[in-house]
Amino acid sequence: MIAPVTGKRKPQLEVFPDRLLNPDTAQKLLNELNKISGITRIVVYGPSLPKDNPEDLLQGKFNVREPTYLDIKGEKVELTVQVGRFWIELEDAGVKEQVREACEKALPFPFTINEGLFIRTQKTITDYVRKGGKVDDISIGMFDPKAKRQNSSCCGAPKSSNNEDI
Amino acid sequence: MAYKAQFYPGKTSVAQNRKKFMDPSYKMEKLRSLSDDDVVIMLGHRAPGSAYKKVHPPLAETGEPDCPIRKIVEPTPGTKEGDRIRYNQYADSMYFAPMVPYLRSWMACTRYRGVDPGTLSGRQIIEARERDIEAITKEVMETEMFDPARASLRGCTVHGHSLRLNENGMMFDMLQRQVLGADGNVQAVKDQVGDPLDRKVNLGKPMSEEELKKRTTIYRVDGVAFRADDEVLPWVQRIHNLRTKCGFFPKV
Repeated sequence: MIAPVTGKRKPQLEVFPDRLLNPDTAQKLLNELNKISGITRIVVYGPSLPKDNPEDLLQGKFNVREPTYLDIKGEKVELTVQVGRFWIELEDAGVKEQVREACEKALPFPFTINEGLFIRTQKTITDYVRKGGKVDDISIGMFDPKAKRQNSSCCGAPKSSNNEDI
Repeated sequence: MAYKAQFYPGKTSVAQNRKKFMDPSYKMEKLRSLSDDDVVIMLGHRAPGSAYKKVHPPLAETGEPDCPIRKIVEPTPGTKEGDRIRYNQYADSMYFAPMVPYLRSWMACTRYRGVDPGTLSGRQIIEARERDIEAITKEVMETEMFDPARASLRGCTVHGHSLRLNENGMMFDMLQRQVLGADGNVQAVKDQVGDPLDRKVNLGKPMSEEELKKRTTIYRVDGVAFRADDEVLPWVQRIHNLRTKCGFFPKV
């Protein structure tokens, strides 16, 4: 039997800025969030990042964008989305105020902070299809479910003897 | 008593703007100048200076049978020459864009002839003969019906209408057809289907937030609320009511 999530899960926040963020502003906010010790996980979410850099387009250069990376809790993550919201999981609700202060410091326009459940807390069928269920607790809900499928465990999977690469 | 078209009910600024855009006797305010070639390259249907492709010979040479309707209806320039049908398609941001998709359709019906407009939730397409569509596009893009930050010509990948704006106030565009430069001018760098242009087209400065709110045709709770207009609401309810009843009881 699956244990109910209620009462077990850590508090989660959603930071919802009024505008879609430039990579610089997103990193500025992440730098502030990285300083807070009570944060366990951060997910950045938004529409896919346009292929080109506006400055390159103005100079007549097309398809030359270099990948951009974000520093999230010390981990280098390639930026593939135009950041529209942050989902933040906290150790306990005590650091909510610090998150608000970080947002006030980094964001030049209004924002809202919502409380709720934004990052999944249990494995789903998607995790079994894509990762063969081999998803540790910290990785649940931390990858893009719409990302192009690679080495899935069931239909469309490349034929291998033991699915080692899943 | 002669009937005078009102075009749209209401006395709020939004209703007034809707009225004037739909009223063909109102001359739209010109905000920027574009050359004919600018419009042609942004539409991307033909190379500038090339001949118009034809789907039939000019009407004057076809020797059509005599018909009273043909005598009444003057063909548009594109029809006279037998041009093929082409389209333009706009996406308008829901953040106080000067136009909304439905209004673009209504405007096309009341202001222009020989057009086939179609509206979807966040975009609007007009089909017409090629030289007519170029003339219509030029008129729309040069006047107050268009703002380079909150409206754009998007033949494909149109989503952006209901997304939040970018930090610099531009509507999100996955293909980035229009880019805000450091000098504050918006430059078109790709045509409506996202193919790179050989040269940039300067679309001028975006309108300020106050200017947009003054010129917008969008009802919003943080601007002019739909319910704030005492005339529009009963009018919409009446149409809804009649359509619903007639739908259930065709005899009514």
